[in-house]
Amino acid sequence: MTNKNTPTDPAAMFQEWVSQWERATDKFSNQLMGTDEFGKYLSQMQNFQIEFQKTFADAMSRQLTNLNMPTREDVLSISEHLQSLERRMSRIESALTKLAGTNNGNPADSAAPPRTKKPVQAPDA
Amino acid sequence: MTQNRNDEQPDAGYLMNQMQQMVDRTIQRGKNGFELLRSGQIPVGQTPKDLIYDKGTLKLFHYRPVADEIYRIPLIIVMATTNKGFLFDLAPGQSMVEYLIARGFDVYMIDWDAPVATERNLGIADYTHDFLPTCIENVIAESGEPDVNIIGYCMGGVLSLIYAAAQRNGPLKNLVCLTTPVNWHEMGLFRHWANEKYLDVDKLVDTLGIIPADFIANSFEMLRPASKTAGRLRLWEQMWNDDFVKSYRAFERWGNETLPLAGEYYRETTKELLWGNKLFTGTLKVNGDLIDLKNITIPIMSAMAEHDHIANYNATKPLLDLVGSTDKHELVLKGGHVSLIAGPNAVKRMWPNVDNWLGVRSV
Repeated sequence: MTNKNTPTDPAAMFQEWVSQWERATDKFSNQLMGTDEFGKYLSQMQNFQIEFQKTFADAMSRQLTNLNMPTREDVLSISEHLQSLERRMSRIESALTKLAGTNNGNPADSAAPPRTKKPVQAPDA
Repeated sequence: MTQNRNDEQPDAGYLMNQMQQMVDRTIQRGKNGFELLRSGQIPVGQTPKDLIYDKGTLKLFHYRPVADEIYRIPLIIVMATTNKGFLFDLAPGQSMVEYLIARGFDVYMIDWDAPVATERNLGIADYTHDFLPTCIENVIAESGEPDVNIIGYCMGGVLSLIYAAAQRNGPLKNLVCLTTPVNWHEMGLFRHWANEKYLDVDKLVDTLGIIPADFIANSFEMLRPASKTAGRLRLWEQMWNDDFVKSYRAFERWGNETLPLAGEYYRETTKELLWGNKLFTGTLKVNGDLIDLKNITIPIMSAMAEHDHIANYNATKPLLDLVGSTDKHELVLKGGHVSLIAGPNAVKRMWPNVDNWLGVRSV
């Protein structure tokens, strides 16, 4: 059994060191990032990233169209369509299960417990 | 075991014990480390449940009751829109859902999938005036009871508050808000990073449509940049401990599965809540309804974490002062945004507190 108060326990010393390092690093980083200047820098970086991403995506989309290949948007659209079909199937399955009076044959679902439970504690708990 | 005191040298028996422990742990560490590398994703969300309604990003689950009798009023957990709901059901023994159903609650969960491109225009009103009411109608139909209780976590709590303020005299009877920010001007670093002067949120949303999960996850990670490395160091040291490894992997999976956000929802959250602080000042308008938290008069409980780095304590603290309810209960715990739900303090204090408070109000 580990004795955490023992100064020679290397595990406890290691844990303490990690905690101290984490606190110090987070504190330093938060001071650095908790300024309007950092916010300005971050926003500029985001803007640049968005511009780059958009330009690259547009160019790629044009290339794929020229090559008569589906773009990411096309693939996503098919995926959404498939998901929509899956949901419809799931709803139909669920409705059929309810009509059949059982839920996947699980006996626990066929009879819901009564809603009669009373709490043990007083209301001002 | 021999105790070591500051004024004494450790004896040979103690040192032998320490050596033996180190050897045992090194062997176990190697075994678990190999297992960790070899294995795939750890299973999460294992409490049996049924999907009873879904619409795009929205999923409504019903957990199968296990108690012989259950409380009259069903309970709906509204998950934060940025993350998956399995935080409430990480693993057997570390699951608030499992605890609640064992205590006799009839538990439903509103969970979210990643919104797809066609859902980019979903706004706050879609969540509060369509998704929530529709789910509540489904729960009422499924349970046969006219009332519901809600537990809202983080943004799930914000959406639940907006719903509750807009739907007076509705079916909602009791509300529990977990780490729910209301004073958004106290949101710490987020305020600097999304500074109104520099962040062009319209350009961001109009260009991307859906705000990517990486963008959201990175902003959470930047709040505590050392956490990931420190977590891995702790994992290495604790690799001999099976329970620690399982718990770490479940939390890591949860963090890795951060969700993207619908662009319009992100725009409105940034402009109306973070910049305008309109939920706090009672000036927020959603779908034509003025959202004044004073309109909430149902019993309400607010649980918050002292060291919450995402929804700061000062951002969550004012909630109970803003609502019009007379039946109010506050719970402040040590710990952080996530450990409040699934950490050791949650198991010992938060879950029983919710059970006690909500149980007497669920008959």
